Amino acid sequence: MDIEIKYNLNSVRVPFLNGSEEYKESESIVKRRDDLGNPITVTNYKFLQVPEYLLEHIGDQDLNFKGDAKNLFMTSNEETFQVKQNFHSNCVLLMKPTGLASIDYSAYTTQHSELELIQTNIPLDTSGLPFYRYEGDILSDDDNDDLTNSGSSIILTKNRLIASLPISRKEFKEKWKGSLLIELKDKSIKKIPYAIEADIMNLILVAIVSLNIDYTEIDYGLIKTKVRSLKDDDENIELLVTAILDKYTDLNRNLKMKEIAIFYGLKTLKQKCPFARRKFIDLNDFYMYWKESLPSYFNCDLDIDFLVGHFAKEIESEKVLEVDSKRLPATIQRRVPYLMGIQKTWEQKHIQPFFEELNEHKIKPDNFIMKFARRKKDKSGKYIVTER
Amino acid sequence: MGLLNTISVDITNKNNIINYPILGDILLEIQGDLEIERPNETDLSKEYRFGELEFSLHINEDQIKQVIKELNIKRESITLETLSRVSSNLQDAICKSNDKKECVVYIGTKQRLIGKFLKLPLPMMILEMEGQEKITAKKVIKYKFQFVDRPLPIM
Repeated sequence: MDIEIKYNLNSVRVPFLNGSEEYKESESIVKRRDDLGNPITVTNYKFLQVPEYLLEHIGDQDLNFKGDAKNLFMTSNEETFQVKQNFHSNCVLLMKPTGLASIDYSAYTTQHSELELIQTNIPLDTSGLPFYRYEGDILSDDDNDDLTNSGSSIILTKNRLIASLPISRKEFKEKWKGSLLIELKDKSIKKIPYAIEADIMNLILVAIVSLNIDYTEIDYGLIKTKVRSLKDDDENIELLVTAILDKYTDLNRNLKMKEIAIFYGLKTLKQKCPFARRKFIDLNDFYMYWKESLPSYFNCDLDIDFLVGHFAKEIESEKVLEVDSKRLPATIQRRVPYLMGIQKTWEQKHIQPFFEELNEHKIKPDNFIMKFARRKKDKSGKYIVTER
Repeated sequence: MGLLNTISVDITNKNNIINYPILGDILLEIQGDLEIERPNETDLSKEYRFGELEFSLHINEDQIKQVIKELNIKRESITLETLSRVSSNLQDAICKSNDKKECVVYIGTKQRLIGKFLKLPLPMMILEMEGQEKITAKKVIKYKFQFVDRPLPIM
């Protein structure tokens, strides 16, 4: 059986046909004027390509558009998408039935673009969030200069934070663990600063050692009680301990020994051979300082290779120096001479992380290094990177 | 970290926003620009007719049986209007069996375009934007009438 369809296609003159659909700020309901100067109101439409699976439970989805001047994101309950606008030169008319007979169709919008969703996974960016400070304790006055702290009249709650980040509710929940964020009693979100993290970490490890807890059987409750007895002047101490333990334990309640070693390793690098002073120190001395920085009786494997991407090591003398990648030049053309200024020859595995950060086109690491520096194999089989 | 402005999408009619061109709104895509003779009319809100679309929707025997069963109507009374009341699964099936079928559009009195009824690569959600604060998901369209060939004269 065939149903013959004959639709009459109608349109009003402007602005639907040949009308611009450009979305301008606060102009989406534009008061356009017709030929005689009478204002008419126009609603803007956008076409959004939606993956099929998202439509299945569309009614339960909480869709949000989040954007600033540069980027636009859309989040569903579980996923985050980047929104791209694709322009085309076709004439696309969207028509709806008018009248009872439903053979008359009227165009109500033309479109020159479609919005495309690209699934992305953006790491939780906690920089710029207000720092937590011990109660009644002014730790350092530097933190006070932080803009977010001074203008803290609006409380940043969890919901507000989710709403203003390109991240879906589910992803946020997953990333909350280990993010060093805590939710205080007044529902405000604070970030644990480095100094407090180091402080509490010490207390946690001391508690683990003194309670003789197995590193693979971490008990939050016992540690909390112990830490509280060690430091009783802060009422949020349990929140802090939980947040830090979340970062340094895995799902099976094992302590992440490598992460802890790295944390103390970086701390030692910063203290003993800081980048700013260009003071190389002997590798054996470094190991000694590193071991010392950990609480006594806490046993943990240490390996300088854990810290790759944060130090420079002289090939012959085995001396090390901290390298802070945040303070390196941000373009590869300027960064390479700068790195070569620190030392003339590098082992490839040590210099590679500094290159990789800037490898935007995802060229093979070896090839990318060879574009900007000389790479050769030495007698022992190691790859050496030198200036060109 | 910059905080972003957020607008949530209001999904109207909840699960019922999925719509099909032959049974609801239709999407017409014509390659290039559409030249239409415009009438001399100063009232912009007044509609004028610029063309006609012809398409024959095929429904096979199985689908007819299902429609009759679902709506409890007679075979003779199956029309476009009644079809829009069947379940969305059946609507989907009917559209799918008509995928890539030919359709014709007449523009004005001189031009004729031959095109196809096509499934969109991805369903398209129509968003209505009201100012900076409100976005409403109006409907979802899965099929379009696409015309990529040169116009032919009407003889």
